[in-house]
Amino acid sequence: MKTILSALIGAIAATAVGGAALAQDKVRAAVGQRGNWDTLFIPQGVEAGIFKREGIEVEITWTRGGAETLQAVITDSADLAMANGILGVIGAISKGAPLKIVSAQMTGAADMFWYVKADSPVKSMKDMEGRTMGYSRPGSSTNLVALALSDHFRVKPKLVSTGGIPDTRTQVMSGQIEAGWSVPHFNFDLVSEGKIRIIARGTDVPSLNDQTVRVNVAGSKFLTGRRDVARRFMKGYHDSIEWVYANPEKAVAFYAAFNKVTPAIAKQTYESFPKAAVAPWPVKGLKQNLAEALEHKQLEKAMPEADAQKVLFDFVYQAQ
Amino acid sequence: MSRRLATTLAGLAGVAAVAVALEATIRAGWISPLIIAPPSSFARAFAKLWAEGFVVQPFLLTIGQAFAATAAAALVGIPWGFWLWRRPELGRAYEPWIGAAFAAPTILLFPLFLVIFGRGYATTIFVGFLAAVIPVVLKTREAFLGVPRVLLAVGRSFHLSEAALVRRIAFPAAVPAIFTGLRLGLIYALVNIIGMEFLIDFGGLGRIVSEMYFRYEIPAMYAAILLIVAVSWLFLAALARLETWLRPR
Amino acid sequence: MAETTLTPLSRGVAAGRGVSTLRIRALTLVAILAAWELLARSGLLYEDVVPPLEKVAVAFVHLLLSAETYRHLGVTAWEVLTGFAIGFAAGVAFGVPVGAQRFFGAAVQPYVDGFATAPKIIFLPIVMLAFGTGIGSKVALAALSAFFPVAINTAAGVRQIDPVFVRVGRSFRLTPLQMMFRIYLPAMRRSLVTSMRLGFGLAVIGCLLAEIKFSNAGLGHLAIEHYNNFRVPDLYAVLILVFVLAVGANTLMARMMPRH
Repeated sequence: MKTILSALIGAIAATAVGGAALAQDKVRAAVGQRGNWDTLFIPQGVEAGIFKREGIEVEITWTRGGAETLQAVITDSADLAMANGILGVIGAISKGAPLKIVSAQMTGAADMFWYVKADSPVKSMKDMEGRTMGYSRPGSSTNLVALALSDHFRVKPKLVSTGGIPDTRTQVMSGQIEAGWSVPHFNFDLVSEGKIRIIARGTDVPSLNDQTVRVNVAGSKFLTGRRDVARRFMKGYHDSIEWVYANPEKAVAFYAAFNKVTPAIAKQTYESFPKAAVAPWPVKGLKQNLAEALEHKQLEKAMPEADAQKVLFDFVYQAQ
Repeated sequence: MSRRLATTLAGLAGVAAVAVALEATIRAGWISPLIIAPPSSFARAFAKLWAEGFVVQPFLLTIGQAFAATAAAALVGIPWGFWLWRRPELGRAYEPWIGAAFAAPTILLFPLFLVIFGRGYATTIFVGFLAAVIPVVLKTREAFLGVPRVLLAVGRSFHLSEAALVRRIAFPAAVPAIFTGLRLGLIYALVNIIGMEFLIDFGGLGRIVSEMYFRYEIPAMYAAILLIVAVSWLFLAALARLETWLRPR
Repeated sequence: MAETTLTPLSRGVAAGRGVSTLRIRALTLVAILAAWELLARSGLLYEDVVPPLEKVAVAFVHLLLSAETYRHLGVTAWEVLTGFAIGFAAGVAFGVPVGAQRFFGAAVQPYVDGFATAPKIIFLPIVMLAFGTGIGSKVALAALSAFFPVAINTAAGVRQIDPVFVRVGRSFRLTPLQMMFRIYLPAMRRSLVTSMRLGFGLAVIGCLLAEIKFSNAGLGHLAIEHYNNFRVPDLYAVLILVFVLAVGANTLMARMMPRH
């Protein structure tokens, strides 16, 4: 009798444990710019079992960048939108989009760089006076950094909206514009083949290091309805970043395999992203961002910083 | 009350009724204003678009591209259609291909043009050109084929030369149908160009819709979409009116 | 010579005519392919934006042999067929009263024309706001694209029905639904077939453009992924496949449903 009872209890316990392990909470994350170093943290974390440990099953949808990612959350096709230009987010929230910023995604512009064709007479930003310089879309982080670079080097290039990285590359290589924008690992192949030269980087403007340019956003419904899941997800995100920078060789290898690039390019990419730049908290430079949002018409009227803190942020999980 | 006036008023009344119904359901909370902007916000949104220069200049840009594409289609398509008639063996050989091209989704090839021409007017106008040139070619050939044989027989009886027959008889007789081809071409060019502008975020009216969507300015987005619908209808109606005016018969 | 050019309906020798057509087409194809290869290798355009034919062929074979291709094709096919079915049904349901009721038809005509002429892709944001950014929005856009030509054609078909049939139906006091299925639709077979072909073609275009603009699966998505990563020969391969399938589907429909 005792053995049967204990067997029964054992069976029930096993089912309970097994059941709990199977009952992972599903989180849908929309992520822009597939495969960039700073957007691969979640896949890296999934691979390392970090999200599983938090009881989270992540379903990633890759989009083509900021505004598209936001739309996924706004239309309830995703719970979180990762890597969105902060100006766009401020604009959307101010117009009633049901979103909240849950963390910073990229502070400063260490990843951005501008390049020219190898045979171009331009050697650095100082030679860009009056020449055409590309950025993605008006009000984007690339727009801001292009302006910041121009101010810093005291030149007046002709700024042109060139769209995404492949569109920009076409325009540079065909001679339609002089300098185009990019982030690692894109166009590194052209650099190593000697077909293009890098003439400017985001790190050339030190003041940018105090400004968060991209943020992670969550749907209000998700934050109120499944708050504990949201908290565990953000913990997983934070821990994934910690893991990546604690295990650089593994992370670099994962990146190389994911993007089908050489380990050398992968390592170069890793070196472009200092850990401080991708720290999820704090979100820096809010005052500056609000001013720029107003200037670029994302905000219809000025939003005081105190109000902004309440309206924009909901740090459901914040390490330290 | 004339029948025309009656149906026009009825149509407008219908639109007003739909707008009121939408407004009511949105205010009642059955439809979220984040999905369908309340019609009452359209006027203000349109005014804002106008003030920011997002109406007149984009309109002119789009129309300009459409005319440029159609002009190119005319320069290429009319001679081509004429040649297909002049050399019947070519006409017979290519007819099914051109017919197939007419039904083919050429706009789907636009990523290729993006790669070759870059994200600019070259791509949008080229797509417009492709859309317009096919009806122009088809209609031009049809136009010449449709010239009554009697007229040509009369011309030959006057011992007119080849060139003179074409210039004085065939071509003038073909002009009305050629114009139909140009009219079709212009509409196709306009529609495809607006679509392209939306897809690649570049240019005039189509770009505005995309931009408003990404800026999350939903009322402005609806205003821009309705503007495009209105422009499409105006073009269609104006061109049809022009054609009947030019063709007295 | 004068005779042949100005009387193009001349009865030439049938056999001779056939051979010359074939020769013309073959020569043209060869000329186009040769011009392509020349352009590709000329260095006029940079960086393989027009790749040599060999590279495109290799990429195409690769595409056909990859399982992922069929997964995406399945998604697109599902979106197109479902969207088309919905759009067609709605188009017929709307087109019949528009054609049957003269006054109503005339009143809504300008609005239908306006919406029908406008490119449907600009309605994508509305559809995404309503249905999300996934498959639902593609189905909806395909449905929207098919709806208009079907509605317009159906209305035209209804207007051409012999009024005698309508009077017969009315004299039997048939309900509107019965009128639809027993009188109108059978009398409009031909225009329904035309509607189907037009609507299907536009549904394909609408769905693929929506996938290209904003999606995670489907052939359009596959194409834009290649574009984003500058894999040009693969981009050509996917678009060629899409084009061939679209034209093939259209031709199939034309064969299966002859005009008479």
